[in-house]
Amino acid sequence: MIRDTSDEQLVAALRDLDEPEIPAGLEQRILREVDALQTARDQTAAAPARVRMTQPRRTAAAVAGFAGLGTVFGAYCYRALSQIESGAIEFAMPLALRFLAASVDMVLLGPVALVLVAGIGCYLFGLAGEQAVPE
Amino acid sequence: MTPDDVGEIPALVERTLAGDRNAFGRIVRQYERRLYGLACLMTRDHAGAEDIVQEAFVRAYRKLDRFDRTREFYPWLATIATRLCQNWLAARARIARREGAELPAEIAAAGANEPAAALASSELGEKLRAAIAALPYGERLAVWLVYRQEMRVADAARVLGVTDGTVKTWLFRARRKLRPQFARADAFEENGE
Repeated sequence: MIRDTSDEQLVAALRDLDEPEIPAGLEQRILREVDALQTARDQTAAAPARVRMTQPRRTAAAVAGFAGLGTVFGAYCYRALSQIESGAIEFAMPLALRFLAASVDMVLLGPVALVLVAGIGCYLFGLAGEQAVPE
Repeated sequence: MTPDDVGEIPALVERTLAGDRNAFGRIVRQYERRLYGLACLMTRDHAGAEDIVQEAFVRAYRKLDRFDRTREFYPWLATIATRLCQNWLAARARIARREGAELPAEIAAAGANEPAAALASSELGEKLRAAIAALPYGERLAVWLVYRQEMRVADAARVLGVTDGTVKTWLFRARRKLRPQFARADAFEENGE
């Protein structure tokens, strides 16, 4: 790479150049930043409940989902039984058909609302979990 | 490997990863001046170089677990700083374009007012530093990394994101440009004028 004597002298002179002095306080600024970063890491590590939100979030979503579905199913059963009692549906019909008839007959707004509430509940639980997970 | 990187730095990296805050402080002290010199040369701006050095160390700390401990530390750190400098320069150029203004003189023009130039300890050093500052970007950085900071050509190429051949070409061109100025300055100093 270095071809002749003048090049060697040049390179030697370049090697001897001073590096600029670092500004006062720069090292302290760097170490403060690093310290703050490490403190934040330590705090995150010391807060497992907040960090490990994935499992509780899933559990909460499952509970909310089952509660919602259970409520909807309960409403169907209640409605079907009351219609059977009132004689609107033939008792001789197979059970599945009776539930189907009750479903068609009943106002769907109630179950739909319940499903929506359950869905929103799951979403909010999920959202809270996402926010708690650090980058 | 440079003497700095034999033994001590990998051990300091290990200790930092294990949570020893003082170990990273020693890494900072070991490299801050070299890194600041590089950032000054790239940005030609004291405040910009200072911010870049700080951010480079913080990023290095964040990503320390990804550092390949079989390699030298300084080229890795210099690569981070170089990318930050490039972003900084691009941002400055964008601002200048958007506002229809020229880049500030200290950034647009190379010369004796360049921050690093003021730090030369001798007449020869001052002239040489001014001559380096006047070199085009790639040549300037190649000279500084390979000759002043004694980085291997392959490492310098990685830092600058070019091939080894390009670095060698830059070095060749830089030497060709610097040689006459060095000869004049050397003669000037020898004559004691």
